[in-house]
Amino acid sequence: MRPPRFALSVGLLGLCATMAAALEPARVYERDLDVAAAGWVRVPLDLEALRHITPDGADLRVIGPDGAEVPRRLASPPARPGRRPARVIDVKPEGGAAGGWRLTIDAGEGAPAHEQLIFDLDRRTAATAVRLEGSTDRKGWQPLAEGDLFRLGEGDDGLERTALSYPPTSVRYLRLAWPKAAGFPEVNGVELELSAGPSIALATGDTACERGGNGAVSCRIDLPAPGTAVRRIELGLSGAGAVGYRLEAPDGGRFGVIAEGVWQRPSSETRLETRHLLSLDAGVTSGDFLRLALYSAGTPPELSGVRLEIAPREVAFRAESPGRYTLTYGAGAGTSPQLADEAETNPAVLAAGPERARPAPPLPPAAGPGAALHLESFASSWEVAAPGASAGDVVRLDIPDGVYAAARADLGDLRLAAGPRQIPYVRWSSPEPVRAAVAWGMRAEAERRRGWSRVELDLPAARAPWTQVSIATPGGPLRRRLEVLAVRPRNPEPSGRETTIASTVWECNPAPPLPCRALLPIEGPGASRIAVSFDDGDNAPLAEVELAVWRRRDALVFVWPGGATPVRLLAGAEGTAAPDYDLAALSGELLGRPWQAGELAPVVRDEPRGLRFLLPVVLGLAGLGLLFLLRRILAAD
Amino acid sequence: MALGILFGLGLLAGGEFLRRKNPRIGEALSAAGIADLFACFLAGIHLYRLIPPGIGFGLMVLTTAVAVGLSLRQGPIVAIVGLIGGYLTPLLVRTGSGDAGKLFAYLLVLQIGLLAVSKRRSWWPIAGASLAAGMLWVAVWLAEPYKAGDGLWLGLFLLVSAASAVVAILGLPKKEGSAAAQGPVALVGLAVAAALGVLAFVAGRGDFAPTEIGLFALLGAGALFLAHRRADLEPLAWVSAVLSAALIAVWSGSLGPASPSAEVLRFVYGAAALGALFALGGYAGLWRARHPGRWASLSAAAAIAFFLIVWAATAPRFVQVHFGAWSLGLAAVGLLGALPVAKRRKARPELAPALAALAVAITTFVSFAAPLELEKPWIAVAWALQVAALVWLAGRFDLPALRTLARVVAALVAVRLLLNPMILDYPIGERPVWNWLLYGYGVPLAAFALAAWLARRQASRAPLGGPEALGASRSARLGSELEVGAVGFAFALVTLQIRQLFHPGRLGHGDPTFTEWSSYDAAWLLLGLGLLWIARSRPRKSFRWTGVALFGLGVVATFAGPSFLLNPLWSDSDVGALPVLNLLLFGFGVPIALLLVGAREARRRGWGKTAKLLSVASLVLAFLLLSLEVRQAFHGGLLSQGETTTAERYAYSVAWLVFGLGLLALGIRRKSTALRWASLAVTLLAVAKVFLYDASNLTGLYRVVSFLGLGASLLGLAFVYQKFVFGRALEAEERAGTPE
Repeated sequence: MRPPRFALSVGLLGLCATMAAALEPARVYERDLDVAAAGWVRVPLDLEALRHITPDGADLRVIGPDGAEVPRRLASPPARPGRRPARVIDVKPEGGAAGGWRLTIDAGEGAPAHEQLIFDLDRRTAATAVRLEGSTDRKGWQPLAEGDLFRLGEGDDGLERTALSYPPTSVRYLRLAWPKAAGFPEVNGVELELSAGPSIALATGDTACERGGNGAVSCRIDLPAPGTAVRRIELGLSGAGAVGYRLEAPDGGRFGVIAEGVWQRPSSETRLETRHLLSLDAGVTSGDFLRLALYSAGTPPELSGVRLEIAPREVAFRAESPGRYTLTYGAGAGTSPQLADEAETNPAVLAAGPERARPAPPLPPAAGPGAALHLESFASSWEVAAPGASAGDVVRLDIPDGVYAAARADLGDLRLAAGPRQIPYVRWSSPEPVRAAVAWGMRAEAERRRGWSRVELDLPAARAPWTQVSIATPGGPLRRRLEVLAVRPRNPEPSGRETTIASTVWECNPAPPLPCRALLPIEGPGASRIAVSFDDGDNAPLAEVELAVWRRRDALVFVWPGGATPVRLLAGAEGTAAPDYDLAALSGELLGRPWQAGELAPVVRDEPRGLRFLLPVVLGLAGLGLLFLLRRILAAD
Repeated sequence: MALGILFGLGLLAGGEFLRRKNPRIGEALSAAGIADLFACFLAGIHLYRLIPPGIGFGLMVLTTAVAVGLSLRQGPIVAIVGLIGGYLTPLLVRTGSGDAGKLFAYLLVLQIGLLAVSKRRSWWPIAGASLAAGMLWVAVWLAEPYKAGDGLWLGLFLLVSAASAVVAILGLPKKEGSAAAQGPVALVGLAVAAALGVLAFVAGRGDFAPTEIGLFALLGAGALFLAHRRADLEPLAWVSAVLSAALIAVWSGSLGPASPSAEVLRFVYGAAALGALFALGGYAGLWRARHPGRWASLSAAAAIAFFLIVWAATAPRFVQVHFGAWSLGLAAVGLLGALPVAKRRKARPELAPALAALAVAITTFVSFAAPLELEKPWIAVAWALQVAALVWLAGRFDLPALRTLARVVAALVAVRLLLNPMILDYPIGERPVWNWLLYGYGVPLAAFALAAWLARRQASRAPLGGPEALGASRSARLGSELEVGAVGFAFALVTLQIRQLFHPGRLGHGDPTFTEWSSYDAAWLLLGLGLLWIARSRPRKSFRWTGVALFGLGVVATFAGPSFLLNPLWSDSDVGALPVLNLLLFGFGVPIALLLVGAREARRRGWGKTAKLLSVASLVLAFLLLSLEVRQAFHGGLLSQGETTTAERYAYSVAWLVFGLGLLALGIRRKSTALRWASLAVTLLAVAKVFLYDASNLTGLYRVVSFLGLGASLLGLAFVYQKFVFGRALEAEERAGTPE
């Protein structure tokens, strides 16, 4: 019987296919840039450009006024410069009906550009509708920002740290209008977050949240493009009571934590709307989304809004002469020579003109049909559908668990074919993992080993490339040695059927309501079940364990051949070497193009492997007949 | 320049004038005159630029013609000067036209002229030099000014050159060993072979265009015909077949995955045409040949070689083509061809080798039929099957050459399957037992065993004495070699299957575990014992020594692996939680039992020292097993972890003492001094441990019990020795000394 997960995967792929069907055709984008004088030039890339260039930026090219290609490099976002202490030099009551106080803060002489004010307050304060002004001489004041004080996601030392963001400025003096409703501002200290350069701010509505089996809310925050460097995230939360959070980014088929902590919020009967700020130093992300898990002791919190600040990327090059330069990027733009690692002197920061688009050139012939195949050698095949795809379109086919179960562990026997001809493909692994199996609320059962207990989880396909296991349990503190064991199929070792594939000492003392969690990398494939053993010592076995196993997400990217011949995915040929297609040389180009999602129909052929021996056996028998005749001929005399 | 020309003409006239009076001076003057004319015309063209290159070329050609003509009257020196000048003229006087047709037409006329003179005067060295110069010109042209379309002219030149060389020897006696004909015939053979070789280069330079391949085939057919007509040129048929196969092989190498289908088809047709030429030509040649076997061998070898080249080059591309069926079809064609040969065999006994060659071709194609339908690693299996077929045919025809061929093929199969590390990376899947290893080694094993049996049977049926006895001894030796090969495949099959069991689909990766290594030990020891057991009923060196070697390998591996490198005491191997019935019992118990069986076998064979050595080895392993089982009882599966408790330390002393006593009891029962010595050694070790180690490391009651136990054991030992060993010995002495 086919596992329901397979059907679910097919259904999801179908959904993706419907969404992808509306994608634009592949385009090459161009922008003009007028350079007034020879020398170093830096061009910040706006959001549109970030969305259209490939994550590694290999397709970004600079064409000089003479039509020749100019070597260039993509500058990494600058590192965060840190914080600088400031001083409250004056607190005065503010007149008027609203009342309140006015705090004057001195950033110090020659203060570099700053963009956030961080307070250490003596007590929990919810200051809303504050107003901030700036001045260089304490005489003329310019408004800088208005809004609520954000709670910072850090500091478990009992101090309340709140912050207010504003556009980068170098003014020495700041004046904050503190509302009367918030009570007297008992400030222990003030710091200024220094500016790391200009940012691109965008409010994203692309957040999808779901409630997990453990009561946590898991949200997916979409980024404009892979390869985005997120500086800060402002989050609006609705609910009451403290909220624990974990922000994670996918990379290499695993999730990695980039921020975690607790936002202490007052417990109240009514729902509170609070805003929180996460400053990140995560660098450039591999994937195109972040995952935010929210934990609460009471009512699950709701994410009411997300605002991202991302660091713009800049392209740098040396203009040999003034004139009109052109930036090109996007599918089919080709690749560009990289600029040598050479210091820039007084670069001119220039803005490129508006983006123009033109259709991308078709893919070279290497994407066309390849050599023919012995179809009989493959034990399983599926028909591939790509709704909406026409000949020449790029199709991305995610490999579901069912294919992993039928294919070799190295996936070297996967072939796409239209009739007897192979369709060359590029195998692409997403930075984002796929959760293959999860179980909540498991009780660890005592093991034969004294003082050890374990939980187990069946995996849907033994040969899938497992990448990560996540073990979580509510509360803490906790200190246990744990071992992750892979139960491998058909392993002849009587006591070695289980192999330890990861182990660690799990130490955890989280602030409630954040649960304890361990993320361990594992290497697949080959396990049909995962077991996690805990060395409980003299402690009771864990009563509530969440165990999740993740696998790599592989996809086959190929050019849809069109025509009436059905496209098939073939697997299960043990004697077949891994394919070697010329298309691999075009992988960057192929992955940079818009794509349609492919989907698999159920297995249409699962023939016994013995059939491939049918013809050889028949020939062998016929050969024996010939040998018999030869014997007769030789014996005739 | 005019004076120079006049001087040259004067020299020619002087030479003609003195020809009768003093021929040598006349010949020298004529040669000098020709050389002078060449020099003057050359100076007129290049130095003074008085003569246009076209006219200059004509004048030099005329000089060459005069020289060739004069040489008939005056002697070879003039011909040599003419030859040098004639072949150098195109190089020295470059008209700049770059026209291969004109140049090679001129060279051809020159060559024919020189060959005619050489034949008339029997100046064969001049003919050889002329032919070599022509070939050199083709090579030079290929290197530099060659352009598309020149291949036709170069090919025609080579073809007509070879033909004119053949015409030059027409009329010479055809008998082999005729001294008068030897030199010129060899020269012509060389010329034709060289022309074929150079033409192969021309074809390659021209991207194997149909014209060049056609000319090559024409020349090949001519060579075949010539070899058939002249027995002394028979090797030419083989040379041309080898050159053709090389050309096709190079052509196949030029095809890539991106080559257009039309180009691949052209290759297939070209290879099929050349293959058919030599296969059918060889077959046609066998009927009137003095050595029909050579021609039939040529036919068989060409059919097999060309077919395999085409298969290797196109199988990955034309997967829908069933090469196995084609192979069987060719076998059927071979069978049809063999029928008339078999019918005439009685009347013409010299046809027997030809029939054998055709039978080899038939069996080869039959052997390849099934494996060609599978993946490339199966080809070694096909060759292994062919070994059996060759041995069978060797017996049928009593041809030593077939035995040699069988030996060569068997060696290739053995190297391919036993010394080929790439097998570890074959994609053989993850299935245990029923996988490629089973067929890939099992079929060759069966084929070698069958071939060995056939060879042995042929040896046993041969009459004693005479030349047949020599053949019988060779058959027996081949049988031995094939038996060793079969044992090698059995060893590889078992070893790789075990590897596959523990590392499914990844034979080349991962270190062996304790259980895996123990499995190798057990398998090798069992294989060795099995071979020694077979050697009892079939007393052959091949079984005996491979059995000894495999058993020895098992013994060494047991001591190197489970006992040392992978000893669970330090290798972190998990031996299982069950006491006694665990992996230690498998890793040590099985080798102990097999070593004891081996010792018994050694005693049967009268290898006393080996038997003792094996007994000692089994005792050492038993001691190790006992000690490790004690540790397992206290530590569970992982022997390398955990503290050693006092109880465990005491347990070792007890276990060793009990082991020593057990050995003593066994020694007394079996009246074995060796066992009693072993018992003494173990007991002394236990005593030493109690005194040197337990005394300081055991505490409390354990120390007391240890000493008490030791004392009691030693007393018991003394009693047992007195009563059962020394007592019986005394009784025996007394009985012997008492008079009746």
